[in-house]
Amino acid sequence: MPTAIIFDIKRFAVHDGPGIRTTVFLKGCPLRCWWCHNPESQAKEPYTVDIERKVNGQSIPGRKTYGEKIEVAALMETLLKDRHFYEESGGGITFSGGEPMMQADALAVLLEECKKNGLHTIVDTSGFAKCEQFERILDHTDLFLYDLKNMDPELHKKYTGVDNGLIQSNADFLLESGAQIIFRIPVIPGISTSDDEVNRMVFFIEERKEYLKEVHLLPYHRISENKYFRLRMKQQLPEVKEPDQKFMWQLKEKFEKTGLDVFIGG
Amino acid sequence: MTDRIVRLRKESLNAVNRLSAERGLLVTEFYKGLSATQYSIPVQRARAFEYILKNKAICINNNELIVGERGPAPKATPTYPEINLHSLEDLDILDSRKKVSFRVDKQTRKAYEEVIIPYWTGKTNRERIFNNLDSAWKGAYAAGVFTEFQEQRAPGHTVLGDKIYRKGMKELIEEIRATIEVLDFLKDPEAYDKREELKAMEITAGALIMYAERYAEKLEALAADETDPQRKKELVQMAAICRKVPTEAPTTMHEALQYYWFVHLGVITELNPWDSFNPGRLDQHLYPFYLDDLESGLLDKKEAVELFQSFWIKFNNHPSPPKVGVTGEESNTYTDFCLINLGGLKEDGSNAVNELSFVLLDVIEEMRLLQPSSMVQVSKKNPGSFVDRAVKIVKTGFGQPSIFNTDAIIQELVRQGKRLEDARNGGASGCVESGAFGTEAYILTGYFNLVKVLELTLNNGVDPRSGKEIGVATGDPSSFKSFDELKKAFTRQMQHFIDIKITGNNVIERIFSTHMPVPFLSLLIDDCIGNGKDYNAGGARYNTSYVQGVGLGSITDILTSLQYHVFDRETITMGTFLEVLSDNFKGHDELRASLLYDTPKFGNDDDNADTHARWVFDVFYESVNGRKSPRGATYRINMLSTTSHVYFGKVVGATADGRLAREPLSEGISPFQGMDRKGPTAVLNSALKIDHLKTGGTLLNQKFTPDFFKDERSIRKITQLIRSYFRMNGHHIQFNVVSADTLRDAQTHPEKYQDLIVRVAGYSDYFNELGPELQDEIIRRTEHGSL
Repeated sequence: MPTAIIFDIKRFAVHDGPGIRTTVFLKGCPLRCWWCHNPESQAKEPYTVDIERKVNGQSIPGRKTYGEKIEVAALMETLLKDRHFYEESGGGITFSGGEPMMQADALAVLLEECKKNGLHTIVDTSGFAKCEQFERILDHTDLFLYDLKNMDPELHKKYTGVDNGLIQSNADFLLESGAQIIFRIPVIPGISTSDDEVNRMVFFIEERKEYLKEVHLLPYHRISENKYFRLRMKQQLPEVKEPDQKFMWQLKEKFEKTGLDVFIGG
Repeated sequence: MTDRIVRLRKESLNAVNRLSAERGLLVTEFYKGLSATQYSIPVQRARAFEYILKNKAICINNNELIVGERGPAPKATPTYPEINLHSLEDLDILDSRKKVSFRVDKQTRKAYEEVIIPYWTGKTNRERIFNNLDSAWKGAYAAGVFTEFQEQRAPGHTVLGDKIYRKGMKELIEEIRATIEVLDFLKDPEAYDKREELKAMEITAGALIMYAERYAEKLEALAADETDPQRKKELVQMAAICRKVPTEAPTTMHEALQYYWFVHLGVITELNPWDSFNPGRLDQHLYPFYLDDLESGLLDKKEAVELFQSFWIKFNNHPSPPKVGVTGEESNTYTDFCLINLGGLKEDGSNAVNELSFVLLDVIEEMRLLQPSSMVQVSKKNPGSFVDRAVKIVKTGFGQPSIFNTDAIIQELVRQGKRLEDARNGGASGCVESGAFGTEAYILTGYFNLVKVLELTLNNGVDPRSGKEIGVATGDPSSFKSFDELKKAFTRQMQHFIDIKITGNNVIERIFSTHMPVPFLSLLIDDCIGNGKDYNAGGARYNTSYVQGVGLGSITDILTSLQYHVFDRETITMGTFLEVLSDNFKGHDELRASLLYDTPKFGNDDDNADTHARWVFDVFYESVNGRKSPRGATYRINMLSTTSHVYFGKVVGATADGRLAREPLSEGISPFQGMDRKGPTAVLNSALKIDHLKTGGTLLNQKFTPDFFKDERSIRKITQLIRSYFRMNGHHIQFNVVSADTLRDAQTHPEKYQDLIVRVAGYSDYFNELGPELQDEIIRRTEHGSL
């Protein structure tokens, strides 16, 4: 069995799909979104940084490694530990990242193993991967959480580093193949919140609504600021305020005009 | 909430705890007037009970619907000098202590100085107990290896079944007489003892009737003088109720509640039994009355709720009786552990959740009182809507209700040899203890400090705190070649101290059964009447004695660390490690950091650690389970600490898990504070590595920030988390829903947070009432949901 490179396993994940889930974060991402919440996920290979740990109010230096190479079989063993929680709640496994499609071989095996064990599966993706890779995992993926970042190709390129053409064509491929998709839209003030961007986004959803049930709006939050500091990485995003509730509700109404269920926060 | 309830609730919350000398004086008067040869001991106790009920003040609070207080007024708390005698110094400490004080006025102090202390000095049960325990017991007790529940309080710890809702005291008296009638003095060597015990029970039954009639008279007098016609009508009705119950069986809900309350007062006046007393399955017992009253139009739903709320307030008027000596000074726990059970299964095994279960959940949410505490029993047969409703109350952040697995409780009780029907009629009481309600005397005997036993093992039987050799010499741990040698030494040490604990228990149990029978409590618990035997002497249908293991998370982490660092990786030698510990990690912060951050810990679903939890649990279980006590009880274990993990931590030096000397140990079966880093499912999986069904209860605490309950979907996920844990036979789980910031702010500005209630162990308490260490601990516990 292949090996996966992961940077975290989050158990009792309750915001990434139905039921109680375990989310596996696969390392490596072809995008460089300015607002990235998981900057440690971007590089594919594990790396180690110096950290400080508190003991008795004093800081003791230590090392922390981000990322771990793990055999798929060993990873499956960990994922199955919470099986009774998944079964009781209709939950399962979510593969996120980074961009999980970057480790297509490992991902395909993991998904297949999950289905063999009767677990519900989700792939949380930016959509930026070769179409054949999606085709490979189609049968073993119960639901795609699919990011829509910018509609304007120029803006998309600027804020994520890649074109959105492939992302949009993959989305259509999946929809036409009968895959379940929930589009998730990061709401980053000043980046994806202009009237033009919102209108184009609503239009995009509107055109595909017969394939869809719900849309998630993910408001930007500043949780990861400290991560950049700890990782000694520079955050490209200028200082941005979290969108306020009123704005989110207005946005929600705009998307609700499509007739779909819209959730804030997913 | 009606205006009446708003006012009564406020009065109850504002009432100041006072020590009342009333009972102390009455019991002294009674014993002074007693000729030593006049009565057998059970009859003596019954007559003392009768004397108190005949002479104590009648208290009817303004506008209340259910009457009766244990002392002369709400929160006026009696003393039990025949059990333990407060010295003048104790009274001063109680009066002035910062946490949960009891005001002692001049008259009370004078009564103690002039009457109570002179008479009872040298005669108390506590002195009798200490005079009869050997030096091995005293050495282990002083070192903090275990605590002793019965040293200051009577055994008790039981819950009422449905008996009083079916039978009046008159009928019980007839049963007693019929039993005396058939005693066979030719063949039964215990016939005389049985007759004395049964006579005593009859006297107490009569005494309760007399006490209720005193209330009836007073209510009639008040009614005669009352000018408000509405209140007059109520008083007349209440008087009629007190004329009827407890003499006859109740036929309305008001009668049933008033009957229970008289019985409750009887039990906690007779002696000061542990964990008060408790009506148990309230939604089951009262449902028929509730339906009848609603159908007949005697009550509408609003009036029914008002009666329940009145009932709730009565419990809140009663703090637990204050202790003496060091326990009196340090104890933080002055709620009396009444735990109302809702839901679960009926005797026939079907779903017991009914309309009243939901009504009572509303009452709990609206009353928001510490006492009575409440819990829901959750069986796989109970509907999800019931669990969701309970979780929504949990969300309001006052620690109630706690959540129990009925299906596990029943399996635990049946494993102990109970009839399935009796098990289904049971539930949990106190913190988390399983019991067959109405048929079992399940007595908690004391907390047992698992970590101290390991510390003694690591010091070859010598207590490093005192230098005294109180354990067995199991070898110098520096000479141990393998981890197995350490395990063997620990097992021997464990057996040694369990033997000491059980030896003491057996002595104390005989002292209570011989000198402190409880004929009134015996009336209530089956089959004491039929057996002609006292509750304290093994008269109940089922008899169990528990030893409660404390520090599972801590000891697991310590053993894990020793195996990992000393034996497997050899990063440090045993000798050096022990030196570092005796220096309390001074100058070894780096080692401490690696112990705290880089060593496997219990609570993360990591078998490197959890294997040791299972092993310690099994050693403890094997040392205790199945042994017999003099009254014919079987010894069992459960795993809970209430607040004893703070005291037990104070007697243990630094430990190999990175814990500093004198810091608290882990509580219940929860991971050591802050050491669970993989979320609640990992904590639950670790907790499930021990076999809950072999215990009489385990306590697992999970702290959640409020946002975990933010919407219906999130609440459903908490319900699913609970259901999953229960499906794997977890016994109990409770949630603390608070933010650490709120708590920190509450420490700085206690005046702004006087309503802040947290769940500490198996119970709720006001955050401000907790000692700073307990407050800190609650803050430290891992906050799932925050980053």
